[in-house]
Amino acid sequence: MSPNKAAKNLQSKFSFKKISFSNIRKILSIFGSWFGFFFIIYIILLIKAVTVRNIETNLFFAAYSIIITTYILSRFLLSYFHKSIPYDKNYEPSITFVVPAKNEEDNIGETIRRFSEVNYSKEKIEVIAINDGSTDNTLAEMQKVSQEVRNKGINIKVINWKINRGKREGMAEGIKRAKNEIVIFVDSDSFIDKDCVIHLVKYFSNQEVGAVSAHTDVFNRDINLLTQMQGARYFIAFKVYKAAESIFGSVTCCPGCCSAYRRKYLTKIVDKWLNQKFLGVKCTFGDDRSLTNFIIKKYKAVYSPEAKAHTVVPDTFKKYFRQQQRWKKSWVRETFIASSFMWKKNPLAALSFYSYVFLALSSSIVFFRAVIWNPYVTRAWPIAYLSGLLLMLMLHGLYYRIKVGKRAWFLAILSFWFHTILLIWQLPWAIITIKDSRWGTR
Amino acid sequence: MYADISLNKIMQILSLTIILSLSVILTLNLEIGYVSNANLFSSLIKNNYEYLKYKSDISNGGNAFLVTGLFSIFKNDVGEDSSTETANLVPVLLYHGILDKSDGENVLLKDFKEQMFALKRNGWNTITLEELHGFINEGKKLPDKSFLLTFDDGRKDSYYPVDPILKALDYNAVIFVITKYSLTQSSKYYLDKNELKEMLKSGRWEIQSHTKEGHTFYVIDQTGTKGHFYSDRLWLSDRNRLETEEEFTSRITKDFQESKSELEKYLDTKVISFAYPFGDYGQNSVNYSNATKVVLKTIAPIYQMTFYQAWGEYSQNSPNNKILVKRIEVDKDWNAQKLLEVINSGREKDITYTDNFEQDSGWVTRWGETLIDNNKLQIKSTEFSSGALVFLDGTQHWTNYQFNAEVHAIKGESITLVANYKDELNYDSCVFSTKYVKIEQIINGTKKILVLRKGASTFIGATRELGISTNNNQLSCSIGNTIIVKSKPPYTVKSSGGIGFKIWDPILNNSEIEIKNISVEPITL
Repeated sequence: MSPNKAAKNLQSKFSFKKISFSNIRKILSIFGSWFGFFFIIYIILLIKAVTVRNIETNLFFAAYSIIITTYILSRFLLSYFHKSIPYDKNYEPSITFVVPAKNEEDNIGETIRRFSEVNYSKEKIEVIAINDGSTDNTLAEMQKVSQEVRNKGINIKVINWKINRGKREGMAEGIKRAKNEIVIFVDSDSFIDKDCVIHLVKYFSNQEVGAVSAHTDVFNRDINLLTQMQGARYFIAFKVYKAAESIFGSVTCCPGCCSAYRRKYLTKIVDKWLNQKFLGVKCTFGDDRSLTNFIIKKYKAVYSPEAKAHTVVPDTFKKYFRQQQRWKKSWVRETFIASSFMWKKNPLAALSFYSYVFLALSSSIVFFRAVIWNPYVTRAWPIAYLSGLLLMLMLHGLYYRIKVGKRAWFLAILSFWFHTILLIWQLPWAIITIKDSRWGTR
Repeated sequence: MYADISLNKIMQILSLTIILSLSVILTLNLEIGYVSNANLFSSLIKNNYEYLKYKSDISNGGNAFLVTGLFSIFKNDVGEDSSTETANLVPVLLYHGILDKSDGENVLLKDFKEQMFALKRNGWNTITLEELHGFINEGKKLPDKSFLLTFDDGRKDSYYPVDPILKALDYNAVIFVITKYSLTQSSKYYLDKNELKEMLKSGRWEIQSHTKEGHTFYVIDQTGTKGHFYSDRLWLSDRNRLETEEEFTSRITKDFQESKSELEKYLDTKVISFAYPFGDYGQNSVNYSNATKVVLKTIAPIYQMTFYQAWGEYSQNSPNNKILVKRIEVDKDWNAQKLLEVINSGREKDITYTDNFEQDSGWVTRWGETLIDNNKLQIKSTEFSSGALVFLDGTQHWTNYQFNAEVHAIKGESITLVANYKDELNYDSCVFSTKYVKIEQIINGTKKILVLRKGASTFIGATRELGISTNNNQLSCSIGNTIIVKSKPPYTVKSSGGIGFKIWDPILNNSEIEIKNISVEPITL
């Protein structure tokens, strides 16, 4: 770069002419949000300072309070230090998309069409679409779009099962039939961006990496408050929590919406995974968390914030409720399994993992004490607990607001708060009914 | 590791952490006293900062600060070398709150600090309750210049300003708390349970009982007069009568017991002592003449030591095996010098003693008025008294001595030289009057005339050398070098106690004497 050019560059970088009124407003609003963010941390720290002082009066509950604060703040801190690796043009392994679908006539076309639009050498792409006993027009949609895709020079196979076998069977079938190095699972209601693949694949240049999770946002975010809430929740779950886990390569769940795996490693465990049993019952849900678990036992799982995908989330409370119950159950099962080997990982990662297990398991006890037992005994509203919870969620909400821009973030957070309280019993209930797999169907 | 651990990011997080923790600490600091539970970090920091400051003050006379404070932690050469002598008397000091700004009642922090520093520099060291109990009741020895430091009421401002000073001087203290306020509720004024636990943990504080309910005033008659919880029978308005003696006894017993058991339960510490609210163990009762007897009888099985403020008495404690322990309440107007004088004048005096009243060596006025001025001790009655009684502090251990005084009579009927003074109800005396000389013994308040000889022995306007002599066998009175009267053997005195003066006249405010000098010589038998 010539000195002249460098000077010009610098000038444009620091040009004040560009700052218009709207820019000032934008800067002020971001500044205000950051201020709010740290102000909430400050309030939380104040409260915790008092808690530390009273730690003797109730060791368990005070410890819970301190650990959860440390855990959450450490997530934000770690995610701040998270770094993704640069894209290497010379590393371009062949890939296979696997999409099992059941009754997805509305979305499957778009899902598959997007595979043909990615920035990647077409001859290195293979698509395996599995129609898992759909009773609607899914198969027809698949066949229609497969013609389009094939015309672009992409190798696509449509497998048609007349009788439904379940998502796990479909994924396993995909693994077995795939011929390429990297297998990318995409849910039949998820859509990937053009650059998604290159940012997923770049991590596999490191042989230790077995799985990569994309960043998934909510596609139907603006439908109602429930989907807005999930929009905020997804964003934070990926940008903060997965990023924090990813620092140590121990992302505990590469979600089914869009995640890539190294086929070489998958084929070693695919049969074990397919026939996985827990407490004598065959596992039929939580396939993604389970598959990640099999991989991180030996290899690394990371998160790629630049690999973007979008997924459709439940837009009614009933669907949301069932999905949550399913997730809670698979969380209980897979966390139990992961507990047996997570201690071998990076000490900080292991500490985070076990802290989270402790927190999740204690949360309903703490909730019961704060919201039912104490108010019953003292005849006082559980204001401290509920506002503390809201404060914690507000922290997430402000972060979401800062990173994504103007959104109904406050309502989303209120609704998340409400749903957390409403569904707090789901985890203990999931533990009690862990052997009951009826929730497994969607 | 997929992490960007650049210096830039680390510095950002570091500065954010510093800003956040500083804000938290500052906020909590501002809220000391307002949010009772919120002052952990700030008080820790403040406490240690002040400790270093005091530590450097005591080691360097206040010239250097902090840096030397840091070094002085490792030195322990503060104060005089304690002597090998053992204590005969032990003073107990009483404070309440220690303030930055005067409220007209409590001692200021700058005075308190100077007082403690002066005590330390003069070789005084604190003891624990157990050590004091050993001294008073079990005949155990204590090093000379031992004292007990106490605070009443359990106020926050007895702890926060004081603790760094204790730490710097290696002192410890006792705080008497009101359990009703300190254990059951949180306030910005009284120490709470957590603070008390912290204090116990430091090892510098002993937490004892001041009362549970008895720190407020209660109605004691139909007209609504207010009195003291432990010394007056309360008015039961619903039954329109005073409580019975049984009710009084069970009420105070309950409070003595509950305040003790609550402290022991909540703080897991041993409670062996009690400080009477207002220093009143019944002696100030308005409507119950038996109060003192009942209180002392009731409290004895519950506490080993009970503290009160001693006014017009010997100010320090001797190994007398009594349950009542005297305290010197430090006045807000005393500076360090004054406190040292007060303590020194209460210390045991050598029995070979002369006093020409250049300064006050510890003359205590029980009633009437005294003034030490122009190398004279003036004693007067007041408009409310027919006489006066003064005695010399620090003489309670004297036995077998001859006490002479050069007395100038100004007005009044009689001039009395007091010997073997224990308290106003127990002493021996020679009464010199315009009509007679007599030897009078006061035992538990009852007068007993041993010898009386008629004839004038004092004259208004004249100066005479009067004397009293006491030994194991005999009391005698003298004028000049002549013995006027003697108690008759085989009556034995077998007594110990100090010296004093008493004057009397049948008319109020009509007696006055001046004493130019006195001398005391031991009598060897």
